Amino acid sequence: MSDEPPEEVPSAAGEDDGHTVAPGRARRPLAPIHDEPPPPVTSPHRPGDEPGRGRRHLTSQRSVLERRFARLGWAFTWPALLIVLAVTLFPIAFSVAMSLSNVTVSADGFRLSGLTSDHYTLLLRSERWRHALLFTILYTIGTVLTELILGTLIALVLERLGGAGRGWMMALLLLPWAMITVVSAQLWAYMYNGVYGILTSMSDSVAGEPVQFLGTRMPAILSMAVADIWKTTPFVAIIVLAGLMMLPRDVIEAAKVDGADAWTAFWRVRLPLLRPALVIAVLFRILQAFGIFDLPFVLTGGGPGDATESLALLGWQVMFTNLDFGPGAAVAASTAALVLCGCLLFMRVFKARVGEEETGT
Amino acid sequence: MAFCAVPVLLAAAACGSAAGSASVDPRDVGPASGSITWYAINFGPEGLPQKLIDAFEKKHPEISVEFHAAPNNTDTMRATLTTEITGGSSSIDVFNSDVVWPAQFGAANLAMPLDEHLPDDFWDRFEERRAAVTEYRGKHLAAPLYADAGFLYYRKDLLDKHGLEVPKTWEELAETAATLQDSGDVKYGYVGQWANYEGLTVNWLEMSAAAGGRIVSHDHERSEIDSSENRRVLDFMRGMMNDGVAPSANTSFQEPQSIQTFVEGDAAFHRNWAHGYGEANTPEISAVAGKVGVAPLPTFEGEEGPGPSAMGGWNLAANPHSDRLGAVLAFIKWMTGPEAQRMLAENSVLPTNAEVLKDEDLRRDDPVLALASDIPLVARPSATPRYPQVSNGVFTNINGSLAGSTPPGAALRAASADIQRALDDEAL
Repeated sequence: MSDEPPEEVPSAAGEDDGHTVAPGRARRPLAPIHDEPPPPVTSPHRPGDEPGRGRRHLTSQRSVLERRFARLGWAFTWPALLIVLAVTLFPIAFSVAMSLSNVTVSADGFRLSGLTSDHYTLLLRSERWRHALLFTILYTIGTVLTELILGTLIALVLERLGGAGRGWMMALLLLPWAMITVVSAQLWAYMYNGVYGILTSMSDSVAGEPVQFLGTRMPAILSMAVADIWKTTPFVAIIVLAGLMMLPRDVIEAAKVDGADAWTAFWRVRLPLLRPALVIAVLFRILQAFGIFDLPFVLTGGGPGDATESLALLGWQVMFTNLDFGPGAAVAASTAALVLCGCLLFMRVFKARVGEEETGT
Repeated sequence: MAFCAVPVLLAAAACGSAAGSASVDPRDVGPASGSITWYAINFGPEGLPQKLIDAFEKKHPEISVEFHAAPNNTDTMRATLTTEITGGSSSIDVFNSDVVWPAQFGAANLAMPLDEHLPDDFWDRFEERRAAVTEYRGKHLAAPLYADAGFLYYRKDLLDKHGLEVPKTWEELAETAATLQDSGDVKYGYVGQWANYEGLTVNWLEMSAAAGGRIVSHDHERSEIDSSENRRVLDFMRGMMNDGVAPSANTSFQEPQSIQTFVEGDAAFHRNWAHGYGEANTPEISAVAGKVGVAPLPTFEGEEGPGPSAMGGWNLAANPHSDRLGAVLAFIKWMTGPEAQRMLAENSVLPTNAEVLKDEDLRRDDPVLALASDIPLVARPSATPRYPQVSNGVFTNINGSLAGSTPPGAALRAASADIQRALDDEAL
């Protein structure tokens, strides 16, 4: 780990100045000089070249020292690494193993035997799984998009606000985010209650007929999405706000000088520069939204019918209600694989677009 | 990559499960002493489990029992038990087990078969059907602790005011409810548990059985939900929703929501378990206390009455990993015996002990208990470990149809296909 920084620093610095490409590239050739130390044995028969020899000697010494530090570092980190392996990798690997073998529960605990793809075949042939998958994907796209738009708008307002107002607003906004989802879901359940919910009676007085928020298909999906968006938009807003505050002012000023109006400046200059912050926000949100469990668990139980059954809820039911450990593990493992692929795909597409734009300008 | 990891993990898992095994040696259960942990959802009036424990400890001073309250949700409790017991933990010695669990827990080795440890005549203390539903493949996996059944609660005051009879059929109920609603005395006619969860399977089972329908065949091999009897029931339920007899919110009601609507005075009729009577007649939490009557569930016109009630309640089961099985068995024997069962009955929890259930003195004081031993019962199709999937096939499709997203015919066909797949072991 500590071996790498000396090599990376110069090149990273070169790329950081990427907007003004020429000077960065020009500086680069200097860097390799440090990196090509000839074997130390060659130096002794040139006694006249004192400074060069000293420098070379120093670098080789430093790398020995660094290597020693690196080794020491590894020595210190291995217990922590072992714990990380035990608590994160082992359960994942175990559920993958479970999903690929025949699981029986004996008096002695789980017993895995043989290698089988039956659980995944069951999954792929199950309409219930396909439905949960479709619901989860659409729900993720829908909520994350909405949160992204709302969060960005809120961040823009907050940026304008400045001063003490911003602090207060941020604290207020963070309340929903800080609340435990199960608790906030219960609160929403009270508001959505089909007879006594405040939202139900409000809809009654507005539309003349009470809306069944959780009792009918589309309203149930939307009600759940609203509860989700209410809770997580602040998170997106805060990340985007951080991104906004990091933006260099001179670029925007330059755009204004060049005659761009506020709208163009936002779309053409600020938004593209905000990309890294947006990517982080979206990635976090995809990971969470794809694994949504607590909201449907508390609000709808997956209903009405199978309208709001997410993959995580399905996995829980297969594993702990039906006690089908193999298929349950298959649902869990495939969900993890899917969200991983989704995130990688998203990042790849995104990087490609960033690359295009940079070569374009 | 995942495939490479598997053999290594299999080896690791095999080692893991071989170590620390706690297999049960039939006759060697250890002495009836020591401290045991009892894991259960709170039941009865506040503090009842502790009262039972105190009485037990007085009789068995060499055993101490600690009560661990489980989360008030059957599925969550099952998840906790599964995690604990499959992990080989012995931190729970004895636990309350839902009446629909024995087959599933037996198939997954989550409960210890009790037959070898208890005398053969032990099971005679229960009503025959009660004891029968704790069996899986000829072995008793639990002992009945307390019973439960569905009842119809009604607004006595409103029926008296309008000179109406307690309905004997669902059709009469709908008519009576409509009359009361039209008079403006009550907002809704009927509330039950029609949300997307196992409670709907129970509500469905009762109404379907009243109409002569079934969910699965007697041998648990075939789905029988797609029948004309069941079509009649589903049409009737949808009719109740369409006519406004049942609120449209009924499709999102579990027990707490339906009872809330009833105790607020907003519903004329209410189906719930036995605890519904006490709750509706407690002035602190009920606006209709003293105005509530209890009756057996209605049947359908042309069918024999009263309608059957779903068999509910909880059993006691032993963790196969417990290292205090002697004490656990003593606890199970005492809890199902006359003294404890009488305590239950006095606290309006339905006993399972046949002798206590038939006690005339107790029946006089408790109208629910008086009904309980006479009403016909119907068991959920839980003799198969596939019951959770069967139930899922019932409640998702029926709930979907009640919420208006599927026509009744299609819903029953879909339910039938789902149930058949579950029975054939091909359902997720």
